[in-house]
Amino acid sequence: MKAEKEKRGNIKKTADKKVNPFKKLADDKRRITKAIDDGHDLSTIENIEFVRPL
Amino acid sequence: MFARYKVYRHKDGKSYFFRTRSGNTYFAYFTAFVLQDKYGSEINLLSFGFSCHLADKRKPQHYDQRIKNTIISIIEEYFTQEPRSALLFFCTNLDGKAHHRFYTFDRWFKESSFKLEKFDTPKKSAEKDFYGSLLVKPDNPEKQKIMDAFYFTIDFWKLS
Repeated sequence: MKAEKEKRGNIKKTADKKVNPFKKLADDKRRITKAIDDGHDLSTIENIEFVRPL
Repeated sequence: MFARYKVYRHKDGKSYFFRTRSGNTYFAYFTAFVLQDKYGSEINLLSFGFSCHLADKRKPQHYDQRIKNTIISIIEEYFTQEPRSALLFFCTNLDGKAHHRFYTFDRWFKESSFKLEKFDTPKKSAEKDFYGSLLVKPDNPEKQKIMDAFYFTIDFWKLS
């Protein structure tokens, strides 16, 4: 429970209320898909908050 | 236990990956997402996605059940570790095949023995090429709250 709370706490709020989060997600996924398709490392992508929970 | 591929943490620090017998590499990743509810509160959760890097784009691709099993196993592992959380899954429409991906994922989900509930985006969202689902464990005490926030956020941004 504590670990879960800490993980959630570490997830910064990325959604500015003025930005449609679904549109941003779609844009992010497009960029991720293109990077993977082109063989680029995901660490080269900026402004996407990746989380590795596992 | 269904046959599946071994999943590794990628050195990029951002994703997980596995290689198929045909040489393709699948990347799975989680990104932060925030839902809002009608009271103005925010609910932090994660969006899950995966994408494939084809070893040879000219080579015809064949169905490989281990890919499905591996992707489902990642989701299962997440919910085993985070039973009170939820996951968003959205389909991109880069190539006009979001609808196809959405129904493929739906079929995978139905074939899975892992007990999760899935709430889909409204049909009207599909008219805007917007396909997605919210996954949550049936016994999650926050289920209703998360589900309400999911549909509230969709309505708020006029996707329904």
